[in-house]
Amino acid sequence: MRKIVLILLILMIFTVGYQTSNASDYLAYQEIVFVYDGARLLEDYSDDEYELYYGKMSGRRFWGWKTFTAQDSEPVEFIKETLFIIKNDGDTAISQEFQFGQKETIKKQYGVSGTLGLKGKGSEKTFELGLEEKLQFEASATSTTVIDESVEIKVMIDPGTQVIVQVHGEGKVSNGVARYYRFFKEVKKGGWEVFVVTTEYFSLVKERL
Amino acid sequence: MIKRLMMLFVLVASVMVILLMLIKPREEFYVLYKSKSYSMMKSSNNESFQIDMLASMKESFYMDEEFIVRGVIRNQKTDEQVSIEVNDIHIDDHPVQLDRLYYPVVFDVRLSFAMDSFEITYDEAVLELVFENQEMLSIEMGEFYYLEDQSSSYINVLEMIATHEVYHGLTVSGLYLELAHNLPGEIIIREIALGSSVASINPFYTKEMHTSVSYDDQLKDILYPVNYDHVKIQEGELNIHIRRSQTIAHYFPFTYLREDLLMHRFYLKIIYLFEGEIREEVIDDFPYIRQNMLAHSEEEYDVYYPRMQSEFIRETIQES
Repeated sequence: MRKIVLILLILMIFTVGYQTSNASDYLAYQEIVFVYDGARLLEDYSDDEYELYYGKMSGRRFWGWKTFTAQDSEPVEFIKETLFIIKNDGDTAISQEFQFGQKETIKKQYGVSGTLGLKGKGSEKTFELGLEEKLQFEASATSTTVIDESVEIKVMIDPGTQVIVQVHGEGKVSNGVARYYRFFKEVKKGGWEVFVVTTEYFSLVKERL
Repeated sequence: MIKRLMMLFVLVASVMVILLMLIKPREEFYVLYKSKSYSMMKSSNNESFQIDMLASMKESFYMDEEFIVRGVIRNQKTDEQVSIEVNDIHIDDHPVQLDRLYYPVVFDVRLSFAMDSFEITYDEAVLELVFENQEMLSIEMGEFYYLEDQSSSYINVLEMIATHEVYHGLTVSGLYLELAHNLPGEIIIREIALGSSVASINPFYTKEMHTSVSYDDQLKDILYPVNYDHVKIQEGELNIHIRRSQTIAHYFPFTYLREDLLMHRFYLKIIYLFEGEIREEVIDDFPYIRQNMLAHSEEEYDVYYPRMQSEFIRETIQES
């Protein structure tokens, strides 16, 4: 009896948070704004929207994916995290050599909800079970490009100000829902999202503290 | 007997024809590349730069740095050249979809010698990679401007924001700079030169600013109500006085000198007068705009095939 209760508890733990999402780092951006009204990120889908989109995928499959694309390449603007901050809360201006060097990526990022999964680590993340290939014709393909940045500039920071390197950008978001079948049995179900960074704008900005 | 032999011959010939039809011809390797502006100041010893392109195959002899025996960047106009080392070739696992699938490739490259303060200014640069099998990949890479780190650093940057617009592609249209210095007296900025042949600063429309700009401001909003011409060259000299402990902000609009390349990342040379002496200082290349390779359409790329080195030499002799 104890074993049965324990198994039920474990099953409950796995079923709680069914719609929680798992995504690459774009969800950590400071701000993402869609250019056109009505578009939304996967994490903002309501339960009703999920049901509506699942309803658009009628019938079962013997094996493989059934997908529905709710948004195809919707343009977004974003503020990525601030890359660099030098503060001066003293009384005199300070002059400092500022450097940043990093492996930055302009890339395609992935998000999932429900029981859909991601595989891989960091910039190599992609959808599980070949969902990427299935969506290839629906979401415009792009890739990860590794760029080694190395900048060294002498900056002056006035008293009571901070100098920051800000990254703004533009991208495209595609999302929808999918189901995965094996022997006509649904084994995976949830939302998918692809976030493609198309352009990034860097600026060195002074702000009051 | 003869009839049987004939039958056998016809049968063998038919099988051979069918086999030949079924065997796919070996796919030829090629790369897609879009010319760009390379403008960089070497600020540290292990600094390298990247050349990105799209390859028709993921696995290829030409995409292995072990098989590259020699690499140079050559100025097509003057035949000056610098030798390079390919540190690494990074091939992306995820192909991109254009007319067919292509694999993004990034060549991590460094110059194979140290320079003093010499500036490389190749307006029409060609990347040449020679492989073990005597074949060569020759790619018109765009412009190549390169400068070693300059030791003096008296000029300080307080703000640096580029405005951008779609002109003949997405490009920097001007630069907002707030500057100061730590010299014991006044300096007079006489010129700000871009490390590029693509554009230059328009001194006539350079404007002193009292408020900062935003990355998404447009040139026409800042220079309002001027009807600005991006290609009209206007002579003039800057005359920006900066006293000690003073900061001064200006917006520098760009004049485009060529339309085949876009300005995304570049270094700046500030030429100024201090105590009657002309001095120069360089602000490191900064990635004002960065674009995904797929921001460009398939038609914007050029196609390059590796060819025998002797063919290139013959062509060069014929041209000369």
